[in-house]
Amino acid sequence: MKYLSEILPDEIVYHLSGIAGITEIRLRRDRPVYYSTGQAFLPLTEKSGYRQVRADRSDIEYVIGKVSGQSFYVVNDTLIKGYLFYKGGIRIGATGEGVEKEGRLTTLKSISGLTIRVPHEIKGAADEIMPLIIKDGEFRNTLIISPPAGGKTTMLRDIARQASKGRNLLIIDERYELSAFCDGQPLLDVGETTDVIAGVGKKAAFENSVRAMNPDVIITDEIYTEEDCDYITEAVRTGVAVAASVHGKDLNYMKNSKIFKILNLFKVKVVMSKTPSAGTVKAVYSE
Amino acid sequence: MSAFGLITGGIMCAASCYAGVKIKRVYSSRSRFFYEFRDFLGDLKGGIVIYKKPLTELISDYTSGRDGAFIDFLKECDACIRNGTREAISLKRPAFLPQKYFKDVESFFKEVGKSGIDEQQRLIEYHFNKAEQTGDALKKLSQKDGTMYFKLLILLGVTIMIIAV
Repeated sequence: MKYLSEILPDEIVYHLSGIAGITEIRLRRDRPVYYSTGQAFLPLTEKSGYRQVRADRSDIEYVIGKVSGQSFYVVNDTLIKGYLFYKGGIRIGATGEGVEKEGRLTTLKSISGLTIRVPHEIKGAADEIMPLIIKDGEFRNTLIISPPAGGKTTMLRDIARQASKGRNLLIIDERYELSAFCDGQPLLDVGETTDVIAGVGKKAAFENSVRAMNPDVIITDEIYTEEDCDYITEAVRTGVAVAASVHGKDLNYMKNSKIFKILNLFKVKVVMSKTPSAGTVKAVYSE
Repeated sequence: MSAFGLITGGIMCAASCYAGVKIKRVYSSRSRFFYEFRDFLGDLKGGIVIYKKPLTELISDYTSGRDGAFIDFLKECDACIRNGTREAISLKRPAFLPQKYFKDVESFFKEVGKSGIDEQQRLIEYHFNKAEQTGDALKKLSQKDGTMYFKLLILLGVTIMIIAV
């Protein structure tokens, strides 16, 4: 809540205070503010009554201003790739009017909506599956399959925390979500012997940091391209164990995806679900 | 010639001369303000377009070691921008600057930093040229009207002194 209160307008902070476990806040111009706690997705109401709190243009501009240090041009490139980032691993997506130049999106203007996602640290989230992941002292390649907001990042984070005892881990934190990397250190507990490379794509991370840091295990979030598959294949070939996540609703869904070709590399596959709540382990496949 | 008349005449003469000097200074302050605004924009363009440094950092760097009316105004704008209260910039108009000249400066500081690089570059270039044109126009006005008021008030002061004496 500390970091949220730095970027949200005072009125919205006031009405959100006291609500525990916020994982997401949605601001839409001239419409009610909504928030999620992982179990429910609700409109924000005023503390004093039942009236809904609404966001307007100035609220959205306020958040963008705070996150960008009043310098939208500094974060423009990051935004058009998908997200803005803030301290504490907060990730902010935006919608609005796109501006294209020579067929390429160059900027977003008239921003009409913001999705603010707050990383959720749950120590012990991976307790159930750790005995399958670490067998006879060996870390087995693990794939977390989950729909968006299903809890895969929270799960990977706890896997890293627990697996780092006696092992060197390297987290490739492209979007700052896994470790909430800020000012040179992870703000979330990812383990004592875990190194983090944040804000770089998997290509640069795999090509440079893997060789330089000599990890026993690599943790990486959201693999989805053929190149990602190639990097993982190469890492496994060199003897580095991998734990990764992918968007999907079940194992059958993976058969039609680009990562199908490397499914066999993963000895442990964990399918997660948003129902009844985010973080639900629906099925575990272990060889 | 009475002592009282001499003293009164002297005070009124001094007041008139002082008013003349003050008016001339006000006129020249206006053109100087816009030339300094122009210089700031020239510096800002590189910081934003080439180095993509945060706006508040660029302003802090620029105001460090500098003083004057424009720098004081820039520091006030910096505080409004940092606090997310840009609307308050309207209230920071320097006393010597009429609203009709200030409105462009105000609109710049309310918009700077709010869009991508290309738009920022266009915004800065537009206001750079405008600031230079306004500075030139105010300099001419200073040389014409400012000097005229200065001479008139000095003359008035001397006339009062002569009459008093």
